[in-house]
Amino acid sequence: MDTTFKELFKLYDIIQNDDTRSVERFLNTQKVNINLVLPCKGIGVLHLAVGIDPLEKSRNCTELLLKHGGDPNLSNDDGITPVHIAAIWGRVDNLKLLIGCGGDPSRRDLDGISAFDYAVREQQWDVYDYLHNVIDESDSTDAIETECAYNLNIARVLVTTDQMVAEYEPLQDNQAHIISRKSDTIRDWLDRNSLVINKLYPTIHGDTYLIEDESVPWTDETNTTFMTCCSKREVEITGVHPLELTSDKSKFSNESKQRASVYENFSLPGSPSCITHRNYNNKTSLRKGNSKELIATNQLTLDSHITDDDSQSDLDKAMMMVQNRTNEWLCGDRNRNTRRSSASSGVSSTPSGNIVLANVHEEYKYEDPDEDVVLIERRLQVSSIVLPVDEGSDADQTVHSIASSLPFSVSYDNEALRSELIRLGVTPGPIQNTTRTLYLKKLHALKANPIIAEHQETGKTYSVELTKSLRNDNWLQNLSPYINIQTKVQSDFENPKKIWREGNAKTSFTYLLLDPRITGNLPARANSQTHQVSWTTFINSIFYIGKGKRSRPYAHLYQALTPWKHNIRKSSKQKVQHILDIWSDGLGVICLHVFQNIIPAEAYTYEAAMIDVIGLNNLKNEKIGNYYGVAEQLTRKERRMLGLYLLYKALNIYINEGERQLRPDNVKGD
Amino acid sequence: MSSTSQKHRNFVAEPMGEKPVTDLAGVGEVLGKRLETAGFDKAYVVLGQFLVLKKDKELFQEWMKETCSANSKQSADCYQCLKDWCDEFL
Repeated sequence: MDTTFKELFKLYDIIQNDDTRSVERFLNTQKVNINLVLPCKGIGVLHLAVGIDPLEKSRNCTELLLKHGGDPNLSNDDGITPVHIAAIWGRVDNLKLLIGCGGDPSRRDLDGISAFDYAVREQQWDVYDYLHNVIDESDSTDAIETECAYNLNIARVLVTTDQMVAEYEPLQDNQAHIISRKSDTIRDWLDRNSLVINKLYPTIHGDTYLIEDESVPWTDETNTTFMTCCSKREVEITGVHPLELTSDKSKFSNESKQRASVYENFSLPGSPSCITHRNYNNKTSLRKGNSKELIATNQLTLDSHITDDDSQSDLDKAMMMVQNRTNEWLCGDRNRNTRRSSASSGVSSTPSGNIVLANVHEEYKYEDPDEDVVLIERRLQVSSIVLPVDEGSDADQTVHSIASSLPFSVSYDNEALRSELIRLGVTPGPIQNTTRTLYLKKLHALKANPIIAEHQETGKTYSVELTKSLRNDNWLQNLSPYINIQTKVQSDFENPKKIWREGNAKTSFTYLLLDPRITGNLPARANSQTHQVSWTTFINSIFYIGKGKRSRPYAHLYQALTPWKHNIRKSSKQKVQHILDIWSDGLGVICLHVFQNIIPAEAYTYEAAMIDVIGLNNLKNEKIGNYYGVAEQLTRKERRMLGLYLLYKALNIYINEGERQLRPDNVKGD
Repeated sequence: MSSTSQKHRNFVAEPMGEKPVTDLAGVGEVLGKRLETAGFDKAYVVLGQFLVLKKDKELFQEWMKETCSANSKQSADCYQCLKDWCDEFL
């Protein structure tokens, strides 16, 4: 006991007198419990670090201590915590860190004064503002900001298949143009386009679309080429050696020359009338030279005519480009005699023609300058684009399909068996000769009856209503009682005469945070699996339910961003911890915004109903929600029914919208 | 817990050491023979299998059924026996 204090006093001295590096060295070499209040001094080391001068050192020390497990809620004999200190001294940066790591801004000291009160008393208005936002998020009473506090720009478009990723980035000059048209246009366009291709294929029209211009708004960093392809995984190849395209420039220098040319046949009747369709002969040659320039210089020899009113076609052209480029690299890809397409994504290869499924992702940059927040939003398109590849020329091509549901008789190798079991929610032990057959049987049983199995594996127990709905979907056959409750609740909120908490402006929404590690791009799979499976996955993946404001749709992630920026991966707040975990895995949190444009009270009510039906202990929420209006008088059963119905609607929204993942911009996706 | 057999209690009472497989609850002479032919001659070998299956009851019982055609009572006894032993000594 004494020795610990001795060490701790030493640390105290170092923090007070020496530089950051000494502190770091000390923490790395000595194992001390830093969460102790020092006798005589009356504070802990974190208290000290938060309040010292200069600011720079203070921030670094705070960060270090938090990384080494400092407790932001350690209270001394007067009940003062580091959070209080940061508020008193107006250390906003420190405060953000502390709160991000689980510091409680509403905790009171023994005089009954909270950090909030201290900020007011000491006239630390920066702190006041910040705390206001934080508290607002959990329990808000303040007025609604109406203006938009963020920018959302398209950052890149990713086209992926099993093997490759192609990236497109908008050129700076043209960005304004694209922004003005916003994401929806692109989405629509892509959707429409893929649908058209889907429908048409393999009936190829005589019509063609030709692209002429190379300098359209898609380019990568070098400004000379358009595309960055990464080979995603190794594929077994017979005959030809694989295209080794990587974004790493250095790799290209030792690439051997490779050439591929192709004639593309496809028409795009879905595109606006301003683009003329011609008989085309689109020759693309993809050359990967030993040039040190990034990737192949794509030489397009194309003759084309685009007659248009400019504004419309620019974007369309850009998107055409995406399409075209995609085809282009697929051409390179076509060299291989073996191609894999994954049947699990809903479309299977037809024997008559070869198709490649590509998923289009868009990435947007979300910026909130006030809060110094940058997030990347990745939107996964629901429908994969089916890319037609010309046929006939490669007679010896074979298509391997990897179906996700192989019959039982097919022998799995141990690896496949393991991954399949994990996919179904079971973590198997070592698979060896003595256990193999057991796991095969288990897998078989799981497939025969996946819902119950999955449900058991999560170890979560939901409310009665939800459990029933997970077992079978009989409840969907008669939705009217659910609809009645919702209409009743909803109509009450539409009554303009009532004054609601936080006013009547329709600027709120309810959001769900989903874990992408569980959903695995559910919307893309939704069509190929039963509703029941989707439903179960969806319910299991929800980890947080909250209410948000339109002016800052991603405010709920800010809290996790501060510790993230400082490389702290631990937080005592469950929600923050979960988000950090997801980011650490290189994925983004899925934010599902549902029930847009409703008044705050309504959003709170919906939030509460959904929390009730899932159960607080299955979520990372800290408390149950509040009901307002008519909903206050609902029985508990009715409330849960409301929640269940809302969740069901949310799932449909999710499936229609596609997955949107949010991550800080320094996390690498994929 | 008075429902456990004397054999169970004996087994759980002490470290298993080199005890033969027949000392496990639920494993009599017949099952013991079959297990021995399958290579599981000592109780600790069965324990190994039990652990490899991550103490999963369902899987372990299935395994017992497969290797020595144990019925569900026998395999459940054996499972419980190893489970309790682990809780005590592992």
